[in-house]
Amino acid sequence: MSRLSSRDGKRIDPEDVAEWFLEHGGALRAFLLGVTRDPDAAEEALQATFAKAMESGHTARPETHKGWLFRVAYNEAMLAGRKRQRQDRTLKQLALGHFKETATPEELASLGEAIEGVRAVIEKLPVEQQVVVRKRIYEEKTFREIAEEEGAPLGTVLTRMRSALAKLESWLGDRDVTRPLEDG
Amino acid sequence: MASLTSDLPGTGVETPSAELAWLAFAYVSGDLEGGELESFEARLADGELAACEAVADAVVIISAVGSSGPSALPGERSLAPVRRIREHNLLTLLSPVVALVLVVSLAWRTPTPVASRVEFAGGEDVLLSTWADGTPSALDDVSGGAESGAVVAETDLVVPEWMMLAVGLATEMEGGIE
Repeated sequence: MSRLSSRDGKRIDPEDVAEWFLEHGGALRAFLLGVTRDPDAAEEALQATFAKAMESGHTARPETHKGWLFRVAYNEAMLAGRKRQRQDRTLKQLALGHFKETATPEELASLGEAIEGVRAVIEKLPVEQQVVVRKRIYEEKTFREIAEEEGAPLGTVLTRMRSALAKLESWLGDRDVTRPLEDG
Repeated sequence: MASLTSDLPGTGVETPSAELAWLAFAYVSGDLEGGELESFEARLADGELAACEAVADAVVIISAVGSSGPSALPGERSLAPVRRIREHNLLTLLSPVVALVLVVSLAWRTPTPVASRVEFAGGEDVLLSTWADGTPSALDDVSGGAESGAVVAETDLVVPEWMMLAVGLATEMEGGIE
């Protein structure tokens, strides 16, 4: 692979960029999908992010390059958003296929493991929390509708969702699930 | 939803990461609006790593739950035994009621009034002869031959709808209670 020069003459090793992609590509892709809710715009922004990394990645300090990538990705998503409105996709549409369609095989393997892990954590949640998670994400009901169905105050339903998310986030935080699995 | 945070009672166990997970989910799901949305987007634009990673995690969580089949949903599975117990209890309570209704209906609908009328008119012999040779006899005198014959014929041939329903219900109950 050839080395590319940045505008100011400094260079970044393409292998470094490739390593960044392996390390953070999955997280960036998920992030961009969350921002744009459009797999095409997310893919476009992801490619633009790494093109920018090739061009000016040397300006990022090694210890903050991940934050740099996310910042660039967000800006690229906003640029892509000027071409397309943020998609009004349902949560189920967002979950079904759109992430999988654009993910690399490594990301898919990691995602599959993460999904299984999240499901296992959900099974350990109190039933009331499971119901709210399921109804909001899978059945796509609003929190207000869920509150009416459950005969519970809206605040209680929101607290249940919040508690469930805190536990899921804690589990996900212990492991970088969007990073490709290590060989072996 | 105007404000997600104003609707929340204090849980007393909030951590920054829990707050962030909540905001990120609300952002991705479209529940975040107004000032909260602007504020969160500003954090993303600043490249706040924790906020960006929380958004990525929210997408993974949504993928995990959203790609589950309806029957494989954890919440559904957990609730299923409770529902089964409730159904079982309901069926147990309903069974005697249904049986009682069945007995009363049978007693009411069976053609015993015809037999009573026969007995009243001509006694047991008349009834036996009527059933044996099918000839009109005292029945005709009592309630009109054609009409009473039709009653007997109907009771023999036509299965009432309520009985079909009752049999269906009984079968369903047998199948439903595991």
